[in-house]
Amino acid sequence: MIWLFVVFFPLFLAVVVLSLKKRGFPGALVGALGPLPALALVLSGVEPAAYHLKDFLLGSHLGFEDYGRPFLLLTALVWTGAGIYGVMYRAVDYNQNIFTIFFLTCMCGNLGLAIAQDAVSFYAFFALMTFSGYVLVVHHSTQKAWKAGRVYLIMAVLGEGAVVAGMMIGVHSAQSTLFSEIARVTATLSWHHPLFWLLFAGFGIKAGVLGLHFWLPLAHPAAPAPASAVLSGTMIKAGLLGMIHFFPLGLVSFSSWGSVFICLGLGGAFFGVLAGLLEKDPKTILAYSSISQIGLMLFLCGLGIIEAQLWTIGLPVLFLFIIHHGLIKAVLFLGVDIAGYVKGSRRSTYLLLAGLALPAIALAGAPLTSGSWIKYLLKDMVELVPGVLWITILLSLSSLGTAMLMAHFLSRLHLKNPDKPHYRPGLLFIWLGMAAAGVSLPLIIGLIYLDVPDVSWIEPRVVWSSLWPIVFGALIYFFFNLKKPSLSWQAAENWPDTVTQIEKAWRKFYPRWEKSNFCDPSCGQINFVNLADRLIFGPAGLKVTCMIEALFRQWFVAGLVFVLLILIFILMGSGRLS
Amino acid sequence: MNLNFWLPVLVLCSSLVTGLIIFFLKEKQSALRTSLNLIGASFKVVAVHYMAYRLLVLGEIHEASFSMGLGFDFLLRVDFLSLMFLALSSNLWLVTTLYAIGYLEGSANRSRFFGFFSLCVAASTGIALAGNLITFFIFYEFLTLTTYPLVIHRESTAALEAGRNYLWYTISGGSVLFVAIVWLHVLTGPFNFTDTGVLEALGPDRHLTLIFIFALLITGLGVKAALVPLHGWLPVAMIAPAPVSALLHAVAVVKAGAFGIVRVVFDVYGQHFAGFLGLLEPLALVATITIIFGSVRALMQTDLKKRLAYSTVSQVSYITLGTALLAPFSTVAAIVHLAHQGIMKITLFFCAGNIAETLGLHNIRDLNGVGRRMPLTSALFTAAAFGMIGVPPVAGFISKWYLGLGGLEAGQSWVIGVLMLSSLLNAAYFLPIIHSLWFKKPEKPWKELRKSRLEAPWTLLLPTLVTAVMSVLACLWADWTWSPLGVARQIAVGMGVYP
Repeated sequence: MIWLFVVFFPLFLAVVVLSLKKRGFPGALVGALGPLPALALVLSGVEPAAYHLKDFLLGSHLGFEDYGRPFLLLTALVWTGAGIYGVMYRAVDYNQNIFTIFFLTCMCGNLGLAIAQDAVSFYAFFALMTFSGYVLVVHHSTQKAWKAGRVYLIMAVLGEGAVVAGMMIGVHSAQSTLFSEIARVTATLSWHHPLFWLLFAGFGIKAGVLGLHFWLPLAHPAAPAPASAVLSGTMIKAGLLGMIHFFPLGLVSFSSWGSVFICLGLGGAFFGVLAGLLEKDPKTILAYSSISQIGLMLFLCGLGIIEAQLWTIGLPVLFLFIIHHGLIKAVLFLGVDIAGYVKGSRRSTYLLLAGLALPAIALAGAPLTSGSWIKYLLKDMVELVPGVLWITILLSLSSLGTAMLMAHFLSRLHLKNPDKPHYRPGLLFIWLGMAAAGVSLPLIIGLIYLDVPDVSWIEPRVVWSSLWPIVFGALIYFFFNLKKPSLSWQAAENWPDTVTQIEKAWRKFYPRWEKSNFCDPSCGQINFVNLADRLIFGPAGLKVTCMIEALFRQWFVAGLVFVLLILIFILMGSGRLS
Repeated sequence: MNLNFWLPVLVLCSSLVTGLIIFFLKEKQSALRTSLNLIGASFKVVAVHYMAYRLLVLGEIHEASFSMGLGFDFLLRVDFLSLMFLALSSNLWLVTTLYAIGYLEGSANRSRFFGFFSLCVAASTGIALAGNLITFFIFYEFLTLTTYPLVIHRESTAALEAGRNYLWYTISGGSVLFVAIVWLHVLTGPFNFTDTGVLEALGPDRHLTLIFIFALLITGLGVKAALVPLHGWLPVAMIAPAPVSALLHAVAVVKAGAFGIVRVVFDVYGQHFAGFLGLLEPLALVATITIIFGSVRALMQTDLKKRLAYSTVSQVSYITLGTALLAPFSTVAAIVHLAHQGIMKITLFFCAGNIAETLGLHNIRDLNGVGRRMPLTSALFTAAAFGMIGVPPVAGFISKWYLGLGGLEAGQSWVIGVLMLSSLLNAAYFLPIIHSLWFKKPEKPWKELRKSRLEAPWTLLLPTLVTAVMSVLACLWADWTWSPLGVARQIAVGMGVYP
């Protein structure tokens, strides 16, 4: 029962908010309560027995199993932070309660998928999260938000389609909806089985894997701050969770898929940095940073796929990574919003910058932070895989890139115009508390909850290896003055944005299509009836019918057909008589 | 009293007699008419559920047979398959009656309307109960004739034209079906649905004839089941009042065709024999074409009800597709989709009717911001549309899930591709509607056709709410023994396939 309470408490609250007459504050306050049962469950350390909800969906299984606890922890923490911020976040407008309601339903989906242990309930929660997320993305109702929402929705539908198709294949081959059974069966499949392609594409869209990422830099910045925090903090991790549920990690070594994960992961890690450096809006920069970090997580999964026994170390490191990135990215997204409030007051500005710089360098992997811990362990793991030692250099380079990206983010930040009407001193301090928690919690969780190998934190070699990318990254950034408009920005103006390109291609193609013979101008689509008419009444149709007509006018042909018909009927009749 | 004999007869008469009495009522006696309607419908719901209980739990066989001479029987028989259709038609008759009472309040010719409405339901009950092809055919044609006055109810030029179109299609379909049934009986003599293997016993020299007869049967039934290219009447017939469209699309006409196809494949030919004759692949192909073509056509429509009509063309073919796949899971999908498509589509048509009746909006372009004026209707529409797309937790997901698994089980993995494509197309034509309902701003002030305390009269809202809640619960509690899925599984087991 405790599982049901944990998952469906937000849904219950959504109903409460729906019945509230007053808009704004009380609703948001209720909204912040949503993740508390989940948080309490994880922090209490109790592990209730997995729960089989017999009649629900196609037999629902809820429980922690291998991945549930850290994912639920991250989800609950980020949603709690975003919820608290949402209480303070006062965009008082028509939709305030609507926002809270979908915030809660989205939360329900996200909490549910963390602990779902069977494909059907996982998908149900996944869909709930995705489609409620749309309402969060378009909340501001600006032109930009609509565009982001449209792209988000199209990609989401494509992703859901691929996911459900892959799941059907998985469930069919395992004859069970349980993840544990499915993983056992997928381990026996060949690497090019469509199941893997479908699930990789479907979950890759959600996670923002390179090549499927282009909705992400649109959607994450378009949403209001609390929603951006959860979108980047936990919701993209759902895609990752889906992948590790279905790919046979730790059971079998799949060198081909491992290479795909590693290549796309590293590609994403660098692409995110480069693309982010060309952006101006701090939230977009953060979104690209998410793509970059997800790339590194994908790389980590890739190592686990290439070498099955590496997964025993890899799994806790991945948990640490997602918690680290989720919390820090959420804090940063909320910080961008805070920046709009504190402009003008010198002391607050310094506090804010300090508060932002700390998670930023932690993300880049500064010494004594969870970031450096993860980088260190990643390199350790790479050394265990033969033949890919050169990748350690790439990892250091990616830290350097992240440092540059974070420097870019910080320097772009205070250029933002303060368009928020009222300043709330309390908000800054609450946020500073969150920032402190975001930086320290991953360390604490890593040390206490997760089975992560420890590091000699203050050994000079370790400190230096995590320090130099940051120092050099910052130096390069400020030395080359990448912030100032320059060649790179001109390039950014002309940067081929995938969505714009697709739209451009569509605009080019569509009139041509409209003019073509297949298109029916009245509806702008292919019209088979018209097509058939054109065929029948067109010159070819006339010619053929006239020919047949002329043929039948000859009495010899007509007579032959007549005799043949009679023969056929006699044959059919004789079959009956005999 | 022998309940096993009388229950089927009573169930049939509950709507038949109600309809006949209503014809003799004066236009003004609306209270009497309403109560008669509701009593009849409620009685039927209770009787059908009691019968289901007796069949599924106690294992009683309900049968009522009358001889028609020459060895042909007029046979009413409740078996597992008829149960699903029966439950669907009785439950939805009740809600649709309530809706129609609210919808037609104060309009002309209500006695005629409700009379034929009840007869139409009686006909679909008869189709469900029919124990052999002859009985089936009698009710099938009865359905054609009783629906015609409903389609032309408004008596406008467009309605009369649609009615004429409808008659052309269905009567020709019926005559083809008649030829096929006669031919089949010439070969075999009288037989019932329970006599398995009658056709198999004919021997290999008849196989070609059987294939030909199958094609005729499917052509005849395919008109009502709206298989492409025989679907032309359906989008035109949506000119009828909303409750009629709802009933036509969800329960009576379209379902009768689909149900007939299920009957022919399972109880006349036998699924394995049909598969042996190589009949299932072409049937699956036709169903697939219909699914895709219907969705593509739906995408082009700007009239809300027309878009829903094409969506029906597409969705009903899931049933045919499920029948045509030789796997227990897809059999379950076909049976359960009979019910799921019914409750979801009726919700959508109710919502379209609510919007048209309250605000006078028919075109999708005009729906901007309706969510602010009619939040409940829009929410229910959203729920049902998500079900059509196949998103949990709405019933459509369960159907698609089972259909997909069935396709894989039958070794036809292309079914997954068809399902994905169809879901994408469904999303492409439903999501923009949902978007304009909720997120766009209304361009001009609403016309208020009807004043009411709620967003629409309660008689229109309550049935919509009931069916929408049913569609959600059908997925949420799908694994329950008595959910549509649970019953469909029991039916499949009763029919001898074990999912």
